[in-house]
Amino acid sequence: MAHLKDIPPRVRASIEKLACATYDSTPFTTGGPLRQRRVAILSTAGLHRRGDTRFKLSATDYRIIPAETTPADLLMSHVSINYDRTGYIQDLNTVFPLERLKDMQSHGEIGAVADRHYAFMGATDPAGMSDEIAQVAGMMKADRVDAVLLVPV
Amino acid sequence: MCTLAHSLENAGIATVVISLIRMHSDIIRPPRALFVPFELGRPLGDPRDTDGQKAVLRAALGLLENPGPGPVFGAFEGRDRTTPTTVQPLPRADLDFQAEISDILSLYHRAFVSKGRTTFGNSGLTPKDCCAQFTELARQNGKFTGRYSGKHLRFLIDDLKTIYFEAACYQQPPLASASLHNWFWQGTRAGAVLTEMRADFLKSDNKSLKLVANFIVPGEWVDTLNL
Repeated sequence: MAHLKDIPPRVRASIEKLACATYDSTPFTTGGPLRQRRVAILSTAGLHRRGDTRFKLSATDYRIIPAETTPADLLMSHVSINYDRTGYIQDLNTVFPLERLKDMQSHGEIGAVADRHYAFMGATDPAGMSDEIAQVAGMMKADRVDAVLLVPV
Repeated sequence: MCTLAHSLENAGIATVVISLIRMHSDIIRPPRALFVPFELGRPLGDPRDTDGQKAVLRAALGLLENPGPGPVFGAFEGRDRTTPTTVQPLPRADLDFQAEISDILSLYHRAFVSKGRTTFGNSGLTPKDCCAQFTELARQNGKFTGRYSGKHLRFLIDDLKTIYFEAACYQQPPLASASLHNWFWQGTRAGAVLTEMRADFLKSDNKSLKLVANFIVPGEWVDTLNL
């Protein structure tokens, strides 16, 4: 349904007028085969552990989600109500496929699931997140992450 | 999302974006992106579709093995498989709001026990207290006392919807979003109360209530219900 023509007009209008960053070039980091990669998820669904601070309007900060976090321990405090949440309500993997990544690890399709995963609140302009994403990159390197799956909502 | 991919890749970490809005990816040109045909809010596709979710992951992560140069884009050809269905009506068709919320709360608890998971909780209340506070708000009938902060009201309303949706999903196959939203906004007393509350908040002199009004009814339903 995420073809623009299928998105309700009010939401489509805000998507179409969203200012996007442009770049002169695209960086490209290569690596080994997927079966040797250590994969982390970075979500912009405003997810956090139960008891963590909720995301605020225009939040640029992030929450760390340890790999051992269960679906029952996660909540969503994304500011927008203009996307479907009933998929997430029925199955966390619809927005945060940690269990599916663990399945892939157990079948040798990826090397490992990272120890830590990350969530931002996607309604915020990412231009204001440069310090935070640098921190996240540092933690990913410390965790030997060499592949990141970025999942919007 | 695509901007964050540029930042991580500049730091030397390979990335792949699941892209719900191709237009944005085409402009920002992240290193790798998989375009998916799913609706906003369901980037991995249908709930409880384990095979489908893994197929999306294989397609996305598989782009990491492309030697480049970037951007490397792919398209996932799957599609939503949940069929819009009519959510089963409540046991009684003539419920007033108090009776409806009581029945829903009972169903919600059964769903929680059955599933062992709830997405309720941002209000900091118990489900019972959430329903009680919301019922009290509804009784104020447009003359709000200002007892609760805007932020609390926002999450109180979010949690109330969660109770309804989780109750509606109890013992059901995976449900399409359209089925659940049609039921909630056109078939429940709570949906009607919320649309009235939105109108009252918009008319209020209280800036906080005016702001909260924008976070009650999704834009699609503001248009559908001609609010």
